[in-house]
Amino acid sequence: MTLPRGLYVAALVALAFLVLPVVGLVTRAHWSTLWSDLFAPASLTALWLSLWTAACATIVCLVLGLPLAVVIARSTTRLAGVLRTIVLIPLVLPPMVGGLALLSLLGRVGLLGKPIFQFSGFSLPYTSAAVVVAQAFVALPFLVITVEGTLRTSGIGHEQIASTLGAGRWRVLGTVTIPLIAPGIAAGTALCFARALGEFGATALFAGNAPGVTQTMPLAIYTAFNGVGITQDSAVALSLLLLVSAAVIVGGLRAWREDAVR
Amino acid sequence: MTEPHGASLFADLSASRGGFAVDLRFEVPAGGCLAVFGPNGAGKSTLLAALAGLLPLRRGEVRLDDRVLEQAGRLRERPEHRRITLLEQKPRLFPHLTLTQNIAFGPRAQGVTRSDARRAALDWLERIGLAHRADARPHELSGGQQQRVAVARAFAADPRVILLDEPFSALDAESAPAVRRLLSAELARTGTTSVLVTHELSDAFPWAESCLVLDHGRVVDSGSPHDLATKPGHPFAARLAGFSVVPGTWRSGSLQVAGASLGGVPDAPLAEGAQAFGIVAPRDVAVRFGDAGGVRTSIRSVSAHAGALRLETTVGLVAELSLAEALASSAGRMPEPGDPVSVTPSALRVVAAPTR
Repeated sequence: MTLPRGLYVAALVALAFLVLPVVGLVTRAHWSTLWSDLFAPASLTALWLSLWTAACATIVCLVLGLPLAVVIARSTTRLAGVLRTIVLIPLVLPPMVGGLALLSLLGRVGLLGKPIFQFSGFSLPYTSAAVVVAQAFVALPFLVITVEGTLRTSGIGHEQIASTLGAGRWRVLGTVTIPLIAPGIAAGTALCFARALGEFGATALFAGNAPGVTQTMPLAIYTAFNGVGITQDSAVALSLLLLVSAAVIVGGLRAWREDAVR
Repeated sequence: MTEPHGASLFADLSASRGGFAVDLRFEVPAGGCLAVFGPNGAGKSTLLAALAGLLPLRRGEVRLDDRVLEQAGRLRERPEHRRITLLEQKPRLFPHLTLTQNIAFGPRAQGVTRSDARRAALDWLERIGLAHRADARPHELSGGQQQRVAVARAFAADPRVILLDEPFSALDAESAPAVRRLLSAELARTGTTSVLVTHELSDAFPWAESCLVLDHGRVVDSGSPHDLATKPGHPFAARLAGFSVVPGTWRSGSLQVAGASLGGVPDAPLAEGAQAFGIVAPRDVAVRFGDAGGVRTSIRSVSAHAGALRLETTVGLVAELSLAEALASSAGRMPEPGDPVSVTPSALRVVAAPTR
């Protein structure tokens, strides 16, 4: 069926709306000094902090998110609907509100943070660990929803056969369920890592903006355009790095899925 | 077959899943086979899920020899401890495992060492003619080959009972006989007790000593495969056995169909005005073209099988006659859908219409 011509025009405008800002960013970059801007000591610190905190947040998401995804996928339709709504909240919540919520729970006077501080003297906010917590909070839905979708698609037929062959529940989970949904887990992990790498709002409020401790790449970029911290050229170079990472992850996932379909 | 390896299976149960319910009682002796028939939605797969422990019973119990596997609301042995395996129409091989690992899955799950399980799996691959594909993944095989591996995997788990849920229905005409032969040989060799759900009465003949026909979750007919093939007592069973089935009303000692009185012998006394079904073999239905007594109807479809023509009429009666007979009675013209005909069944059995 041929679509109305006006629809193509509208689609083209939408595409331009998404692509042109990226073009603007690319044209702003100083290509001759890109490497030195990217590997300047201050931006390298932010880059390294971002990488390891995002990696830790992804591991936290895997440990917490996989069981949750399995429980949702194998729940009754009603319960699954409720659980899925709860999981999606951080996805639609303004990140700043997420940061405030984390502070209210884990801050020095927070619901859990206060007794922890009184008992041990430990306060989580404004530490690198707080960066990991903030990133995990906003990235967890990506992992859970992706894995849960894969689980629902794969069904329970193989698991039932495995149990009639003599496999107990943990064995079925470890040797059948998890391997069957491995592509979904990989996709969810990649999306989760990308989201953690780009996290800004919750981190800013819950972890602060201390260079070398909590100043991740997005925070360093923001700070640079407020006239402090790394140079604006370094900020643009870091932005390009984030852009390329996102493109590689999304493109890689797409190619992999097409390959899986074939 | 030597000493049967299977256990006797007793079930007196009620279970339901997704709108399908089943409520019945049966016993299969050790090494025996029970065939279960029924239209779609009759509760056949629900029954197998309940026996395998994949679905809790609402009422009753399941026993394997003297061992109680489940008593509704009181005791429930998990599927992995029942030693009842399931073979479905889809092979459901584990796609991430090789053929050897698939077959070794059951033994490994039951604590057999890796090397022993592998050796047993390789023996099975030899037996099913796929030894040269030991390290292949399931997607590299044809549907028939995959189902043969699924049969091997099910038997390698050393079950006391195997549940067969239409195991041939997804196979093409070329690969189905090989799977049938393999399953037949393994059931005979191991003496494993089996419950076979199928849509083909011919599947029951080689294995089943007894059959059940389910409709809306209840047993509506039962007997040996021979009983069902020769004297089915329910319209579904009659169609399954290839009989022509026609609905009508029982009046004045005769089955009335579309204004015609067809006579007939009821299996059991019928009340005047009772809804009933006439059952007759297609070869016992005489056809005359045009208006010539009997039930006046028209041809709905014409098909040919082994030199004979099958004419299905709009009242539901099916007639079978040779091509020469057909040409002789239709003035040399091939019968076509829409042609008016009169059909007269002889040797008509009449059974009461099933109550819901």
